[in-house]
Amino acid sequence: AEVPHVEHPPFDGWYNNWAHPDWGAAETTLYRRLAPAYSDGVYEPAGAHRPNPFEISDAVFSGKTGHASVKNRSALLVFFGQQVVEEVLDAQRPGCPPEYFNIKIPKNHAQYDKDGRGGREMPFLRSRYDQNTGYSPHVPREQLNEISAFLDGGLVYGPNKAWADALRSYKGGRLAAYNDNDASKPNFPAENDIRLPMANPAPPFDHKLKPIKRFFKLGNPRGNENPFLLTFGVLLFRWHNHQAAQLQANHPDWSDERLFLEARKLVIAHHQKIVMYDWIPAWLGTEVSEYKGYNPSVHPGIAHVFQSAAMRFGHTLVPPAVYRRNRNCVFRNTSDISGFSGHSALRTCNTFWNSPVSLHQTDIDELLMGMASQITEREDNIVTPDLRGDVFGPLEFPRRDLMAVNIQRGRDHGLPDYNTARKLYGLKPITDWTDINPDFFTNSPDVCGPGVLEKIRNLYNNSLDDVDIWPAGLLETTANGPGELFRTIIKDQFERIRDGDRFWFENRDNGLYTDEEIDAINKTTLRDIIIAVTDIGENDLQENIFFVGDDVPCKQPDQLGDLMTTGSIGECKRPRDAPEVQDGVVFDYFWGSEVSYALTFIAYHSLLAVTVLVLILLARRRDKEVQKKMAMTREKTRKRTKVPSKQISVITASEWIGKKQGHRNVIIKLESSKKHILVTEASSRKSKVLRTIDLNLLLKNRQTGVELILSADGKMTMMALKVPKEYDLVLVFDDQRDRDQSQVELERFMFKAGLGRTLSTVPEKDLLRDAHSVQDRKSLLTQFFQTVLANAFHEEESENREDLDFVKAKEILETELTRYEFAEALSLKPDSLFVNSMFKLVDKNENGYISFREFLDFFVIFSKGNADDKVKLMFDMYDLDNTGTLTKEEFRTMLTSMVDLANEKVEEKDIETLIGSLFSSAGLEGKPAITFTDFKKILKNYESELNYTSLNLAGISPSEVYLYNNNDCAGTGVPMNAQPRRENASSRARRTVILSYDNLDLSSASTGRTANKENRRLSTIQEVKTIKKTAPKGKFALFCNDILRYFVNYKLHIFWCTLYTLITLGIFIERAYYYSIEREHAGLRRIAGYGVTVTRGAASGMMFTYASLLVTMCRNTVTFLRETFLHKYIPFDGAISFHKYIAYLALFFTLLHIIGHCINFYHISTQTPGDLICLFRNFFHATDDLPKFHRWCWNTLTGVTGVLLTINMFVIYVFAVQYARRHTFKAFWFTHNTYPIFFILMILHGAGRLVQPPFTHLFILGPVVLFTLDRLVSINRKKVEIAVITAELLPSDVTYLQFKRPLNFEYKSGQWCRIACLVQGSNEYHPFTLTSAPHEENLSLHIRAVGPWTMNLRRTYDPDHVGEHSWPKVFLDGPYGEGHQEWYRYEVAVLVGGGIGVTPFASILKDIKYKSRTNAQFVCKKVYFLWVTRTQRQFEWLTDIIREVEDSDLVSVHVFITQFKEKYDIRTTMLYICERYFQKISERSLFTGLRSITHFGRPEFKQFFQMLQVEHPNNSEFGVFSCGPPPMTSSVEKACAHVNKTSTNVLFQHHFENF
Amino acid sequence: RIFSLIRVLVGVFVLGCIFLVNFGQEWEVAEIESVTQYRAGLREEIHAKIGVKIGLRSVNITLKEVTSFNEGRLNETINYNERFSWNNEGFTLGRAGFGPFAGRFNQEYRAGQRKGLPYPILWIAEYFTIDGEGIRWGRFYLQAGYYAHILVWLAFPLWILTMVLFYMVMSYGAYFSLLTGIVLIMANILYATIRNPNQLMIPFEDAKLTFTWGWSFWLCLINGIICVAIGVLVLVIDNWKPD
Ligand SMILES: Cc1cc2nc3c(=O)[nH]c(=O)nc-3n(C[C@H](O)[C@H](O)[C@H](O)COP(=O)(O)OP(=O)(O)OC[C@H]3O[C@@H](n4cnc5c(N)ncnc54)[C@H](O)[C@@H]3O)c2cc1C
Ligand code: HEM
Ligand code: HEM
Repeated sequence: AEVPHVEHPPFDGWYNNWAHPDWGAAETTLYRRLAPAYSDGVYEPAGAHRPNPFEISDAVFSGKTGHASVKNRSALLVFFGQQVVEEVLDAQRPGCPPEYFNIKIPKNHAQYDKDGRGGREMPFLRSRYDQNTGYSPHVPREQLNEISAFLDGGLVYGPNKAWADALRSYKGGRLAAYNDNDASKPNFPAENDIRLPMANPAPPFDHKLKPIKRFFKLGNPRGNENPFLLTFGVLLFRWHNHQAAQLQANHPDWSDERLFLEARKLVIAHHQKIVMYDWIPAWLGTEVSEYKGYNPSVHPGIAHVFQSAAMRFGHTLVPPAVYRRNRNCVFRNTSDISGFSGHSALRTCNTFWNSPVSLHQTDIDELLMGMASQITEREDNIVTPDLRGDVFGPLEFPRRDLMAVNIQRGRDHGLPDYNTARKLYGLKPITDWTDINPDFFTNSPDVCGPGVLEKIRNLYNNSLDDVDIWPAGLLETTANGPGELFRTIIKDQFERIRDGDRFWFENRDNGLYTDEEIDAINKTTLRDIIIAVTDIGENDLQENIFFVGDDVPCKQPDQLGDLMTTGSIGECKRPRDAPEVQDGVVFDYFWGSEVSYALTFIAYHSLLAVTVLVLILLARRRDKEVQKKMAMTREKTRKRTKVPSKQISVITASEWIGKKQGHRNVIIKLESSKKHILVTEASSRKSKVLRTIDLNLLLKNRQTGVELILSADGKMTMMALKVPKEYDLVLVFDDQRDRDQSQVELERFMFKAGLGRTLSTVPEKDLLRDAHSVQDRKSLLTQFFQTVLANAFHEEESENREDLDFVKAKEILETELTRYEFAEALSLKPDSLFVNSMFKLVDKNENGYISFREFLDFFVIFSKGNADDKVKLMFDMYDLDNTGTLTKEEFRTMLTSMVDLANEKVEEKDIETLIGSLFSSAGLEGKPAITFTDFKKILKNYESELNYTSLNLAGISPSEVYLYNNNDCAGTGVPMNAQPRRENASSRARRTVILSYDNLDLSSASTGRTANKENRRLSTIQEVKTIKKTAPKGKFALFCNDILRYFVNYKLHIFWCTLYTLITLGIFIERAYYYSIEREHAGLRRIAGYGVTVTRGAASGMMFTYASLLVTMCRNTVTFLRETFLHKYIPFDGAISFHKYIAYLALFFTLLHIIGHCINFYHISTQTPGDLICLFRNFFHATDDLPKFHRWCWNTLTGVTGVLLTINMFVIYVFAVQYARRHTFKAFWFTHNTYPIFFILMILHGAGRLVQPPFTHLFILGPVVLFTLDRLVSINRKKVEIAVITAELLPSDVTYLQFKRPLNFEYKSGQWCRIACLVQGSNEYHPFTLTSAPHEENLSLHIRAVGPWTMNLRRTYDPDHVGEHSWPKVFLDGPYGEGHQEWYRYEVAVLVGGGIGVTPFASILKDIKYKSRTNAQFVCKKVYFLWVTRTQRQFEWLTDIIREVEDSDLVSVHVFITQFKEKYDIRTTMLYICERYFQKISERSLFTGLRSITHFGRPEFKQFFQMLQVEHPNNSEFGVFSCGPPPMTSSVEKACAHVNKTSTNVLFQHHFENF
Repeated sequence: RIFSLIRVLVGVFVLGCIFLVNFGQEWEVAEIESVTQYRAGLREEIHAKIGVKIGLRSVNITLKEVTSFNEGRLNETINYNERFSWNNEGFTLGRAGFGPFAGRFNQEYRAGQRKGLPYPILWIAEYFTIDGEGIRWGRFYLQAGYYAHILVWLAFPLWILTMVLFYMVMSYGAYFSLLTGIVLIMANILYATIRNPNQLMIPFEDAKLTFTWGWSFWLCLINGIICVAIGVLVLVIDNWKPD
């Protein structure tokens, strides 16, 4: 007949109950039958005040094994019972995150603290729970049951459908078997080769994690725990296949699916029947109630107390070993893989998690028969040591005490106390301890061990109020079985499971089973099943296999256990000798990681070292290459240089300048006629004289000769020429032959000059060490001048003087200047007349050198002497023949020398005219020579001023210094504070100036001033009030002042850096806080403690900083933004410095991160595999695998990328140091451009999701997009290589570049452009102001070397380096900028340039000159150019431009020198001292050659603007353009604002630019 | 003109494909027709088309009755299309189980159970919730999807850059095209290699759901190959006659 389809029970228990689809379902909470007793009411374990579980365990459950069950219960009953548990309950998995609720091991514990060390703990992990619960008291923590509570065949088919699918063979409805393909194999379930996730702890007897494949594939995930339990797994598996086969025989047309489901249906029913009606009565000693039909309102859920206590009753029945016998009653001795042979039975504790092995030995038959014959342990409180002390555990604690665990589990689950439980189950509370078990305690106290009652009573302080359920409940046990409480609980549980199950086999409403089937099911017993699927015959088993009745075919030889009289059961084995196990208890999880850990870090360090080494090697190699190149150029120069005459011989070599400066190619010319040695630049283009050694001086000073030192080792190519009082000339030749030749040459030259030489040879190293290099000389000279200045100015203020040590002082005193050095100090040409005369004057003893004393004397006169002294000094200077009179010739020389100084070419006849007018004005016409008196006459009107100059020089009241050159201003009513007398003096001086230099160049013919000119002069403001400051006294004050200045200059930088740092710190702290506080109980934080806090905080800090690194490098954006108003608030020019700052901040975080992870990884490597699975959800490792350090570090995405990142970072940073950029820029650029890899790795690093979801991209995305767009702009820019026409190295580190102006490159004066140098990476553009004027054919730049790029540039265009090649090309981008080119829109424009900020004005000034000449319609009437600079030295090139424009009426130039007087270099000092004096004569500055006035101090803009108003009363709009450091522009800004506010109708419009 | 039109068309086409591939649901597909149990409380089985489509972020399960087995008795349209996704923050797996800290997929599965989805859908989805030892299909599809989606997303800006660069510097465009292609092909390679050692197979009464690459997978591969081809082509042309 057609068998109808039925609704088959689900695999996971869902939808069993229509009203509550999840009742009894898998992965739902246990059933809270008793009120929870969590100590905080929510989740903290119960029983905080209950005794230590170990003590309870020892007190209550200890005792000898080997007592037989009073009722002759069989071992089979017990293990069937364990299997029933697995059918309804699985709540063993620890929670995630792991919560350790370890159990303290009492000191001197017999098993766990044998050495009495104390302080040990047994690990205990709290159970997994529903994380919707446990937050507040109404819903306290509820643990989960992973499988369905129903008796629904989960044991056989698994906890869910997918699992069941994995077990099937898909043939005939059968489950896959071990022998499916090989009939000779025993009929076991298939091996777990697809690795179903079954429980797989390490077998404690050998302490090794083993592959999960070794297990049989069962429905029950824990079914392989011990062979006895596994026996039932195999049995039921066979029973299913047996049923399927039968069904198939009866219904050949049924599909595999149908067969499977129908067989399953029957297996479940048989199992239900056996459990409910055969096993429970045997177990409890009472029958269950009669089935009254399905009751949908019954909750089948497993009660906590059932799970944590009652059902564990079975523990007391577990025998320490289990018999195996054959059908002939031969009880098998053990001889299994554990190596324990000869024992009477299988020792329980040695079979844990090795079950299949035992089964393979004997099939299940012998075990079934053995268990059926074996009387199990007695129903009492004593638990076999196999459980109480030797039950399996985690690797770090392989043998645990199950009793302590049971008690702790009860507390973990929040079980109430014993009496409360009783009450809630409707039992009367116990008031007297003996009432727990009157049978035992009063009738046969020895059964439960001596003194148990006493012990437990004492443990609980004699109070029955708070006793754990497990010990007390177990103490109730009687021969009948579990005591009242446990019995009630168990019965209640199973009845609920039965009554609440819609698919229960007796429930006729579910339509699953026909009446016949139910009858048949009701008749089926476990015995029938065994007989059906094994070789065991009817006669081999007793009738009721749950008891060892009298009908048992084979009696057990002995009761197994301690009390055995025959044989033994062996010991519980512990692998004491394994290296990772210590004390047989503690497992070292780090074992196996040490090597990789150490190696990894060694590798790290060596890599770092290697990187540094590579850097140094590269730098060396490049230096060598440079030297080679130099040698080549030298070779070429040598070939090219023709010896001009017999008198001159030439040596080419490379000169060693100093340790840091290295070498330069030079040509040495030996001029025997002049007895000069000239050291000149060896460049193809120019041969500037670098140095002249005048041998005449030696002769004069009766020196016998020079010292020649040759190197005696190395390639023997070095030679040092020591000339007294000068620095040494250290030459390096190409080879020894070359040197020897040169030596001969030199010696011959010396000989000719009448000088000798001493010769010595020393090792190369010593030669260099002892050489007095240019640098040494320079620093000596600096000190020399400083000491002179200090002595001249501050003789009284000794505390201001540098405290020179004696040796140094002596050295300085003995120093003598050559003329060349003297000229250089004044930045004048050594052969200029002025220098010559001055030198002669100062050099009193005429030995050709200026000694310290001489120089000081000269200075003192200048600074202190009266007018006469000074005039005399001057007179003497030009009285070349020392006759006491100046001939006309000499006077002419005097004048030409001054002209000469001013770098002007003057026509001879102009001089004549000038002299004529001078003489005639002093009434000296016709006199052939003038005496000192005459001279004084010429100058007499300057007297007061000369005196006055000395006054000021004493530095008494510098704030009173006002420098006028035109007193007419007094008439304009401008407030002046100057004293009248002085004013008079100067006005007199002005009026009586006879010699006016400007006569010369403005009109060659006129001898006086035209009225016209006078007017111009009158209307021109030439005085500007200055603010002067003296340097604070004392080193500390000076230091403070410097700091203050720094702060003022960089206040924006400092602000942004601080802000940025704070933000970064904030980000660090946010994460750190999150991991310290909010995730205190979760994740990695649990393992690594604050390590995570630090590393995660640092990671976020890194993400932020590394991302911002990109932002700083958005060069186009930065360029664009600096054009906007934002530039006022954000110093965009600092982008690169900021980049570096951020990089170091990032480095800090990175190191924190890396070091943190070194520690974290150590911690991770020491974790239990179980915890790791929970904590690193995205990192999988198999249960038989213990991830070692190398797994984490080298086998996870995060680890590998971390390692790579670190290496990448090392390389980037090492090659980014100044040294690298200087020496091997290419290597820097190459390594630095690995940054895309760096960022990709960084994204991947987080993408590993080891700890948290990645969010690197959140930080990186914005910057990357910006950077990419920015980069696109760069790429899009048409790159044209532009040929450089000339390049010149100007003094003071300024490089002058002139290059072709590209077609259609239109710009206005004052604009800037960006250039990149091909040699230094075509992407790195730097901004420079165009110093050419728009009308010029070529573009030019003046570039000062301040940092790596500009210095490299200077080197690139160093003729030495370029050699014969053409100039390297540049890329040009621009023009940029605006504002300054508007100057011609205003009638009056004020241009203020500060520091390098004058560069734009170079172009503007040229432009002005050009426009004023050519352009008629040109609004601008007057331009004031104020140049504020600390020292003029760096801008000598500008003076040329200024000089060009100065002469036009349009421009009035003022120079302000802001350096403190105390810090003047000698040139500025001379300027300061001499200008007032000499300017009167020449109308031009001696030193700058400018007519403009040099002021000392900062300009007082406010007054200057007010004066302008007066000066140009009809003008209402003034354009003010300033360019320079922020403090200067801001004071201009303030002044403008002030003037605009205080005066009506006048507007000072300020435009500025900072850099 | 035609050349630039082609350029735009190809550009848009590839870009569209990248998007399709990224959000396409059919990286792997399986479809069968089978008799199957349908729901609790029902003895009859239904005859249905069962389909599974795996995308980078989720699994779509469809269940559609083919011939109404139980006409008259069941007045019910059986046509389900359920999606279970795992693209929570960072595609993380979450804690084991189905609780509030579990992965998104598991939570959606649990929601499906509560919603009472038909058995076949739950059974299939259940396969992706198990995570242990050799049974980690959910994890592997999640990982594969995770890495593939990163790469496909990466391809998106790369391709945009490619297009932009083609207007600027041809050879750069070509390199980026190559890169885009490689990234897309990498996505395929990763997707194909990150898989559970045991092939996913879901048995039903008449057939097993076995998975094959779907159009999304192939499109990604073809797209990648096109990009590489474009890159190579342009480079070759650029080298031959650079203009
Ligand atoms: C509009 C403008 C015009 C300039 N005109 C001239 C000029 O005519 N002559 C001249 O000698 N210098 C000029 N500079 C300054 C010049 O750009 C820097 O000195 C040069 O870039 C320094 O580079 P470096 O790597 O050698 O030095 P670094 O040591 O890197 O830097 C030294 C200083 O220069 C700044 N700087 C470095 N690189 C840049 C850059 N790419 N952009 C802006 N600032 C930078 C740094 O912030 C730092 O303060 C100008 C700067 C600007 C903004
Ligand atoms: C790992 C960290 C770093 C990253 C990711 C990084 C990134 C970058 C980037 C993207 C550029 C632009 C490159 C270009 O224009 O092609 C750059 C340039 C530069 N970086 Fe870094 N950088 C890092 C560390 C450093 C460090 C430590 C320094 C030096 C202290 C440094 C100094 C520079 C300089 C000097 C330049 C540009 C050259 C210049 O314009 O002067 N960087 N960096
Ligand atoms: C230069 C070197 C390194 C950098 C730049 C770096 C960067 C980062 C960043 C940004 C994160 C956060 C990722 C995220 O959550 O999105 C992170 C996390 C992490 N890093 Fe590093 N790291 C480096 C080196 C290392 C090293 C050497 C290790 C150890 C081998 C390491 C191990 C880790 C770990 C374990 C995490 C947590 C991963 C997670 O959140 O899933 N890191 N790192």
